[in-house]
Amino acid sequence: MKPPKPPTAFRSVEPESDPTGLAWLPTWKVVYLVVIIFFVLWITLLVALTVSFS
Amino acid sequence: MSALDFIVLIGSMLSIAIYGIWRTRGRRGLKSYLKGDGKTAWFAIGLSVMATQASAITFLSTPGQGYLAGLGFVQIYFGLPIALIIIAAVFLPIFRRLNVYTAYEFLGLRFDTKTRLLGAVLFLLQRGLGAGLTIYAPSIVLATVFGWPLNVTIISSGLVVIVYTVMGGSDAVTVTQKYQLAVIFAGMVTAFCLVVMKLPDGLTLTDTFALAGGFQKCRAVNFSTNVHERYTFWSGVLGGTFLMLAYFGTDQSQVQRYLSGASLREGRLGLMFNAVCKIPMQFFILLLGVLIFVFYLFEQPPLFFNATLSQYLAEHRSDPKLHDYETAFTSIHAQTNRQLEDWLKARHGGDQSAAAAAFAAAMTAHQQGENIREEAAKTLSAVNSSTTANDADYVFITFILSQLPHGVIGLLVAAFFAAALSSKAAELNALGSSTTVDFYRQIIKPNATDTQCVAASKCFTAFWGLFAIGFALYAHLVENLIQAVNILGSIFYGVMLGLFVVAFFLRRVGGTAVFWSAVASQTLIFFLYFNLTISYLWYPLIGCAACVIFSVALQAFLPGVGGKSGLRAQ
Repeated sequence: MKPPKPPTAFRSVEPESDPTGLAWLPTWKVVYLVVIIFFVLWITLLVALTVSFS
Repeated sequence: MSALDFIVLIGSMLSIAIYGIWRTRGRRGLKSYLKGDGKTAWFAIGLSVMATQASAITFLSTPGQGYLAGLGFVQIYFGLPIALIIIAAVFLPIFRRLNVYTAYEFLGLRFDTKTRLLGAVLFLLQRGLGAGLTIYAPSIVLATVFGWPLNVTIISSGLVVIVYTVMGGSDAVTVTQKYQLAVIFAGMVTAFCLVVMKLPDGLTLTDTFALAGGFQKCRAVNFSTNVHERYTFWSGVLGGTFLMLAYFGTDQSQVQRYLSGASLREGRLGLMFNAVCKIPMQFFILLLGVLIFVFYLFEQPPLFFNATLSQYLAEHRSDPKLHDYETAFTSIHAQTNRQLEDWLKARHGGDQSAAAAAFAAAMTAHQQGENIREEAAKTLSAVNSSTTANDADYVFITFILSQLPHGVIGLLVAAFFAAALSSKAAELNALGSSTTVDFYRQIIKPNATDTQCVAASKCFTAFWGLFAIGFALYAHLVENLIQAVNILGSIFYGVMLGLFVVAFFLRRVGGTAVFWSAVASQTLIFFLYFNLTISYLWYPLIGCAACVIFSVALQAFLPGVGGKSGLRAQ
């Protein structure tokens, strides 16, 4: 008898080849890049607020 | 609170609790109780991770921090997006591949049992004490709303959270957190809109920011390189990254949340959701505090926001000294108000010099008011040692109860309880899980059945709840809650993170070297904390670096190469 397959939830996967499932962000590197861009934008806005009103 | 407030409060809390019990009915297995059923989608994970971090402290104490010190506290979150990317790329795939219940199980697989237990002990100690701090927030709300003694509200709210967590387990925490967060956001957005509406007529958005900026409340980013300044861009990005990396990557209360995901993708997207949303969310909560500060420049604030001090003041109004403080404070506030009205007229009329003069006079009057407040607090503390001068945690709840309409008060009090339940339940659940998996099943009863483990986990959850209540009863806070909880984390998290960094990246280091290095590093951190005055945000970085350097150095003197095969980072 074959050993049972591990459940899908915990099956071993290659981390970077794991699909993102997002149409416009096909790889994890792109997802991380977008997060960094958001971060830099927020810092820029906060710096602008500080400079304008302090 | 009116009958309408109680209907909103009880209705929203009961419906969430009943939903949680209904959704998790019949789930009795160890895996389900500790880790959920492994089917959670990314959005629910994202909200669960957010709700676990965003305790009632966040919603009660952060506006107070904004009121007191402005927007600078937002810098503590600058390391968060970087940390979450590292966790999604490195930590999460390894935890999932090994299918572990707790993060410390990984340390046991990679090193040895003693290192696993050390990681678990550091977590239990830090999180157990932290749980004591998080009980404070709903207790403050209850004490202010009902006028009950703080000790009574600590015990009663602590017991409610224990019962809720023991009944539901991890699954109940995850399924109800999104609805609790919905109540929280509804409450905070309503409060934000109402503060804006309550600002004086004629005060534009630019005026509001100019006014707040004049009182140094809009300094969101500070590029100073002085390590003694608590919140700077550098301490946020460097120290904050290590603090957040340790919190999200090694604290079981968070690891448990994203390990419940249906797949690696769901866990990663849940983390990225937080990486994008967390800084804006904290900014708006701090801004709420700044707006309340501006509101109270025009509206008479109480001499003390702190419920205990206010109550003492009300009971001893006949004392001539206290009466004088109140009268002087009211009079100086009226003076500030008049100066600010002059400033507004001159500003709108384009008279820059008159505006500058009126603003300078308003600032002087405001400072005099703060001096009176400080002196009165000292006097009260001298005559009644049980009173604490910490006012910041009471600012928002006082504003809610005195300024907002009925119905909204009930909604916001419900929001505090929802936040308290969601984060506290996640913490206690993680403490119970770690004690069961890392100690009970490892040392006390290795052959325990699933049923015995679930029963043990419930007992440990209750134990940690009682431990937290005990700590809360005896802890005297010198900091406001949001800072106290982060300081506590900073003391322990660096070394915890160091253990994981060595496990992931230093293949040649074995269990004995890393164990003794972690013990030495934690001792070093305690020594530095009590002897230096640098910003607490640097301690996670120092603790992690010390653990890594000591491990490499010690391994060079030990025979053989540590590390079990097949457990390295891919």
